[in-house]
Amino acid sequence: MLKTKYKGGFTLAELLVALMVTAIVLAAAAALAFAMGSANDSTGDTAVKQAQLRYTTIKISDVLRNCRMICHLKENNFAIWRADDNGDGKLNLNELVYLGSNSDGNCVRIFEFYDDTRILQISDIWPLVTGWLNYGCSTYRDTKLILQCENVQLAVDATPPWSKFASISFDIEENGVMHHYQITAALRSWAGHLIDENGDMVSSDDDE
Amino acid sequence: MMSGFNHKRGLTLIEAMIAVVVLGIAAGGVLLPFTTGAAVQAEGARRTLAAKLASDLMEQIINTPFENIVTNYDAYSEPAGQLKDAGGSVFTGSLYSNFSRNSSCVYAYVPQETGNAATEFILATVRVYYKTDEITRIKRLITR
Repeated sequence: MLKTKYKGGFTLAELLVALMVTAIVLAAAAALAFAMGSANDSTGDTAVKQAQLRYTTIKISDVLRNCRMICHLKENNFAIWRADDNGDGKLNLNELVYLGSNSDGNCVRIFEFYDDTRILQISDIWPLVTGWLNYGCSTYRDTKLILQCENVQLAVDATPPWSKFASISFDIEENGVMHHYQITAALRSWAGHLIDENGDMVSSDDDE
Repeated sequence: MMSGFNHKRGLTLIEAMIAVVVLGIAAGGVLLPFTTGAAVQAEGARRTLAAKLASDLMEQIINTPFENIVTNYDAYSEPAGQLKDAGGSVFTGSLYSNFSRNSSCVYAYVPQETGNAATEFILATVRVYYKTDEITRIKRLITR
């Protein structure tokens, strides 16, 4: 047989006090849970952005340091001759990458071509920036390195293709605070011997 | 008046203290991973930034004409809160306020490469500090 001292049940006052105490305890627990959830979200968001920042720094530094030249800087994008993969001393389409931002300036991305070895002149590149599909080039990869950023700015020490030093800067919001970052790189493999005084590719480096 | 509690005289001090300790341990067990994780993440972000700052200054040194490197960057120093970007502007914001960096550049003789006594190399060292602690140091051997 169940033994209880509340044979006549709780009084209204006791019930109200119990409800108030329970409500206060639950409110405190809910506030703590919400705070922990928010902190966890913020920590996770910052971790993702830091990971993107690390990858972007490595990727962009590698591209800029080892590229043959920056062919253009226009509309917040670098057109970069990434490397002379086939060693022919000429710029092939699959050796070209665009590095920069979209028209809104709120992401950092890299645009790569592959499987297309057509030879380009530097002057060919920029008019094709919006017309690659018309050019018959459908094999490209658009990779967003940093998804959420603002104020993407590109800078070089000299007008392309004579640039030997480049930087890309952007702002990232972390924990509600906007932080400014910059990635800089000197071009180690600049192929100045492959361009003439007008900035056009020479047919052979023996021409200069 | 009849009380509904078994503890007619209330809880003893020992019982109350034990309850507080148990609750504290439970709360600490829940909160500790969050605070530890946040601290580890902050340290990681700090080291990432320090590596970037060191790399950025080294890139500027490498991009400097060989003849000017020692003049411009030996005993070069940027105090806390005065770090400059590639354009010469000071990095603003709390993120950079506790960072400082310096560099040293000395001519280096590498006999197996030069074959003579000419100074064809410069050893550049960049250090980055957070408050007073050196957290990153990188070195490069720069040639003409």
